[in-house]
Amino acid sequence: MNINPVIAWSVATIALAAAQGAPAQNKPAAPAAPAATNAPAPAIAEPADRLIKEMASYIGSANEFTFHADVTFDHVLPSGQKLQFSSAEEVVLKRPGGLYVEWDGDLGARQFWYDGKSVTLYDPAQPFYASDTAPPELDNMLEQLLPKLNFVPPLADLLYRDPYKTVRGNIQYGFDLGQSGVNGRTCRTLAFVEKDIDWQIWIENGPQPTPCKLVITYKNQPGQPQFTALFSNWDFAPRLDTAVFTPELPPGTEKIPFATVAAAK
Amino acid sequence: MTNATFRRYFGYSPNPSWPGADTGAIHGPEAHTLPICVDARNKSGHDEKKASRRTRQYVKGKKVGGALLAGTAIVVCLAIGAEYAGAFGFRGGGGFGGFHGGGGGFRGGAFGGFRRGSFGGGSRFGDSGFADRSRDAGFGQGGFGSVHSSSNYSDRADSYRQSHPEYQHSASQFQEAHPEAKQNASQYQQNRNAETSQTEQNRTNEANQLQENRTNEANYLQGQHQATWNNYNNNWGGYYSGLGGFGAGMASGATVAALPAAAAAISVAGNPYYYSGGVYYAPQGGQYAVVPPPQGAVVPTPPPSCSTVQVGSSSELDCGGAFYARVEKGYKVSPPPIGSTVSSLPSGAVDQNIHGTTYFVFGGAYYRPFYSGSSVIYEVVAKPA
Repeated sequence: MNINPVIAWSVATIALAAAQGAPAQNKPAAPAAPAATNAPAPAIAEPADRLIKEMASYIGSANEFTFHADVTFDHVLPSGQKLQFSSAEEVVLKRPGGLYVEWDGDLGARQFWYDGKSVTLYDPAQPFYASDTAPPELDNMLEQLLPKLNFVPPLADLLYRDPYKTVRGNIQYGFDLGQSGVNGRTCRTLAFVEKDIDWQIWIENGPQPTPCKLVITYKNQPGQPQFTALFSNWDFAPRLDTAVFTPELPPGTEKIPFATVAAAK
Repeated sequence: MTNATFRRYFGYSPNPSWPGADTGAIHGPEAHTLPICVDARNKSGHDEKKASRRTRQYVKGKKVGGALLAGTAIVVCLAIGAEYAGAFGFRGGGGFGGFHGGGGGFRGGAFGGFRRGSFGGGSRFGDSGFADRSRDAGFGQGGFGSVHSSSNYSDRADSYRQSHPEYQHSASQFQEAHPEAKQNASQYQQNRNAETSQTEQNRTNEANQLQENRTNEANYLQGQHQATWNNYNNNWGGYYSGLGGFGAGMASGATVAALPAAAAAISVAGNPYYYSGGVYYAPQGGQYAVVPPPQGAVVPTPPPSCSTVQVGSSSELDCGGAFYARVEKGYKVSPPPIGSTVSSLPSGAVDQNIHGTTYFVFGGAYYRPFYSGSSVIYEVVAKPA
């Protein structure tokens, strides 16, 4: 892909300008960084920080919601050829302890249930499911899921009570790219730089600052694959039936163990 | 959708307790109905159960069977092809805008049929780790698709700062050096707009060129594909169908009237076999049946597309679930090492229920399934007592 040098220069310029324009970067003035690391303080432009904080506050304060995401993600072959696949994700959340995630894509499907007591994962292409105990609170469950079972539902960032805190910690630089249209929604585009990824998020203008789109670029991985989600159908009054958080498995589906990360080591 | 519009369509007001709900609650009772599309090519009981699962209702007051609500949802089932039809399923599609609208259901992974020992999903191409998204369907393995968990993905030293020294500048330094950086986002937006028309023109030109190239390439590939297929047929090529998905060759159990010209006769435990390009044949009623690799067979060359696995202090080849050890006269079909894992079963593996636990048996090896991350994989275990 050819990148227009003017645009590239502009992005870099704005990024740094935004960094310059940021006030105390939401933190007291940090003491001088140790010479060994020479790490500059994170710099996030005030509009970018404010918008993502508003989005996070809006979503995080909801006790229940559902949304849909059309996802594309790259698969980089050993040859370097990059393939793109698609999936659809449905998310049903009810705090403090209810989550159902449905994933249906080119490379397979998954269902994930969390009822405040346990998590259950099922691949409908398999006659097997796995289940494990879980903490009663959603945030704790999500925090434990990855280190223990080595997966987390995609887009889990938006499921925390404080998504801002969840995503803010690793940001090195962030800036506001301006307004953009996403599937008929008018959204604000924010871009962030982290150690391992670059990511962009489009947040809807108006009274419901929900995400319109998210792009994660795994810049340190071969081929720099991307994960893209286009959000729709945000519903903060879904009148949920809590039965949705109870696993519903075809008769005869057999329980098999999770390979825990600790056991794998 | 406004609250008034919502009421008009769905007959009730969205929960006003949530700020903004009156403008954002776009789902109504009918919105959560499910279009049901039955794949005529797969009417197994398991799939019917899945179809049943798709009809589950999890929103209070929602009507199941709403797919039949006239005109609210139209799902078109396309016969994509036997291998990928299940994998692609049908999703999205607009539906009726509801939570389940157009969701379609789950048939991913090319469901190959339980109890037949052949799971079509989980193709074995690629390596483990991030690059192998085929195995886990992209569902969050290792934190995939999460900003917060992205660091779990990186197994490389961070070189970002080193490769982008310009970001090491402090803000003040940068401002001094680049006063133009004071332009704000709206200025950038204007710049971007100015570039858009030129970019669009360039893109159009490039697209035309690409289309032409692609057409030429497609014609070439089509020709190559036909040539390859003809060659395949002439030579009974491929290897035994251990490589699910891409590169699958002949299925165990298939019979052929004549052996490939290059087939070599081998003897295993006094029984005659023929070997060619990774495929084993056993004489059967005047024909030749494709059989799984017989344990102990020694062949001069391993099958194509093998990967090296470390077994203790030595290495073996994993060739689609059949393991080969290097020996003096070639490569010997060996039992897979206990404790090794594979992401898909070798074709021909059959399930056995032993003391309430399902195992799969192939070539004398026992495989036990478990979820690793978000995917089912199989560990080679000792024969259960």
